[in-house]
Amino acid sequence: MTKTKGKTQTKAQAKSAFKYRRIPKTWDEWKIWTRRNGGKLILSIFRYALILCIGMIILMPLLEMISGTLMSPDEVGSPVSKWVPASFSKEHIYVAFKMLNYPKALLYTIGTTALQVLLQILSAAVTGYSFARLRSKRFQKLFAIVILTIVVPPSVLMLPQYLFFRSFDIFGIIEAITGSPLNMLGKPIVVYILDFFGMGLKAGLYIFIFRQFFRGLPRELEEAAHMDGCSFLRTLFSIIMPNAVPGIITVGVLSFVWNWNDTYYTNLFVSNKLNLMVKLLDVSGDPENTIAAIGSKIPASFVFNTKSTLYQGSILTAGSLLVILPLIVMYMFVQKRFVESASNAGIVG
Amino acid sequence: MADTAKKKKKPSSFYRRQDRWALIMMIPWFIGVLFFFLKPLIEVCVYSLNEVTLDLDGVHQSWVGIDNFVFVLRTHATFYQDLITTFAQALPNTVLIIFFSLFAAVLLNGKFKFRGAARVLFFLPIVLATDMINIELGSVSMDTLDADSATTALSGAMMLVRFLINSVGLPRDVISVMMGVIENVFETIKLSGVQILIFLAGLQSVSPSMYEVAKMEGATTYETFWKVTLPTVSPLIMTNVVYTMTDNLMRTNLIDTMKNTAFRQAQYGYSAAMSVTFLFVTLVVIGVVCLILGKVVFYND
Repeated sequence: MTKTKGKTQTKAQAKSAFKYRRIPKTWDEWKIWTRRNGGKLILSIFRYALILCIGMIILMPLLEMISGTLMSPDEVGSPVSKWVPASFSKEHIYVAFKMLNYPKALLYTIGTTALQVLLQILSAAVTGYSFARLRSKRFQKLFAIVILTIVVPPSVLMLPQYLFFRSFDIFGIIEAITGSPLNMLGKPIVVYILDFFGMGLKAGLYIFIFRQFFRGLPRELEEAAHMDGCSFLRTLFSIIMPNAVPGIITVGVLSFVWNWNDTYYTNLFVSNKLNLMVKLLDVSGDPENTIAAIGSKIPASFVFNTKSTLYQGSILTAGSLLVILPLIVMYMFVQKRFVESASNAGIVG
Repeated sequence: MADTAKKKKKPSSFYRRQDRWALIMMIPWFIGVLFFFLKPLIEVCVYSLNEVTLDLDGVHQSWVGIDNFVFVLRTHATFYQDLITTFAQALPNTVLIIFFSLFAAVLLNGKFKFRGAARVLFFLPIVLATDMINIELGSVSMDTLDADSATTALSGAMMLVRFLINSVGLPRDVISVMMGVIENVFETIKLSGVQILIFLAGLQSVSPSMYEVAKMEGATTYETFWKVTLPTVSPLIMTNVVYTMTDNLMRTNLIDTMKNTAFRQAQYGYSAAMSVTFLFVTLVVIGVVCLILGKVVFYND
């Protein structure tokens, strides 16, 4: 029980641990080693096997998309080549590239999505911060509305929102000026408005994340800033925001990915064919004709068998790959920061 | 005495100013809630009780009472069944996803080599979210359905699993439930990225001293999990259940039905009635689930 005894024990433990960490030589040593470390060994083998299996399940669709895309068209569907194509060809990717009008559509989609992400981060951060710092109990109860916006499926509000933007007006001002309310449908500004007012795609969740995050930040920071005569806005933008980088990264990545993949808002409000997802969905509705429509841009050496459903499927696979490619590239760049910040501070705070 | 006197004192000018500014900064959100959330919510309820027609002048309504609901629930060919199926699928899916993501988070929280890589891999489904990869499968004919990696590549393994489970001699119902779970494994993994993230964040915030204490008192790993880990992440189970339920409900094909009814068939009243029914059932189910979980959840503070 005394201090010295504890010390000697730990010393002995350290010694024995050291002894059995090196590779055992004799049979007896092996026996002791397995008795001590066998459970751990089996556990770690089990763990690696599980992680490998789950990892395979996650990666398999992606790998198959890649191999299906790089395959030459004659080979698609043959049972011999499934994972590694016998002959590579750039035909699928070339046709999909032309079909999606890729460079232009990519720029457009990145631009609109980036703007959406910025607006969502801004509105969610400001609202989340306000909720985290509000001391009045009455207004804190309003947070229930944030939860409600998370729980209510956006499709429930589809019809009134659609009608609202179809004849958009602010207290009759626009009608007084131009004679009729503004039809805002088909313009990306609709989504920007929703994002700015904190009602965009999954905005409630972002407010929730930021609130949790800011609650974890010490108040002393702001008190000190106040002592030094810093205004509220300046505190928010030059003291709080730089400290909120993990939260911003978490929300930024989630918002980028979800806005990129979103078809609900874009289809309802912004059906612009330059948006990659909208275009891809459009193509998948009628693959034969849309693929055939770009026939003039295709070199004669290509197979270009638009009648075959297999061929259509491959083109669509190549198209999907092109659409998610920017996401994968982005993920590669931010993965370290994202995993760190999301799992350390982003959500629970 | 001194404490209560302190509490009763007016908050300092700093806090008053902060409160005022916080409210000012929330104004955009207030506007958003009013115009893009509460207003549509009330409107959709009104529409559901009216026959709605649209023309260039705007919206015309005529009162029909609950006729829309009667039509939607009694006469409509698929809505009622779809509603039941949606919730009947969402609940077990949620349970599966919660269990899997908790398991995966515990797995990823341990110390081992390549942990960073494993985490990156497990969060990949977040990036590849939505049904991106399945787009081509839904629309093109059956030939390409074979390309669905999940079904073909593992169908052999599935046969083996089915054989093994059958040979154990369990009752038929149990077997079919187990098979359902196993066949769902791809969907489960695909949808649990964010949940793993939330659980992992929770596990990281458990203070190491708690584990130290448990170890000193001679708790086994198993006991530590049940008495330390689970209680600390239990509030997150609630968060995750709510998130998973809403996420699951957004994938229902009821949404397509509502969209078609409104924008293809121009039956706005019916569509609104569907929305309200869906919303009502959603809120009731999530409310009940939260009530039940609220009894179990352990709050540390």
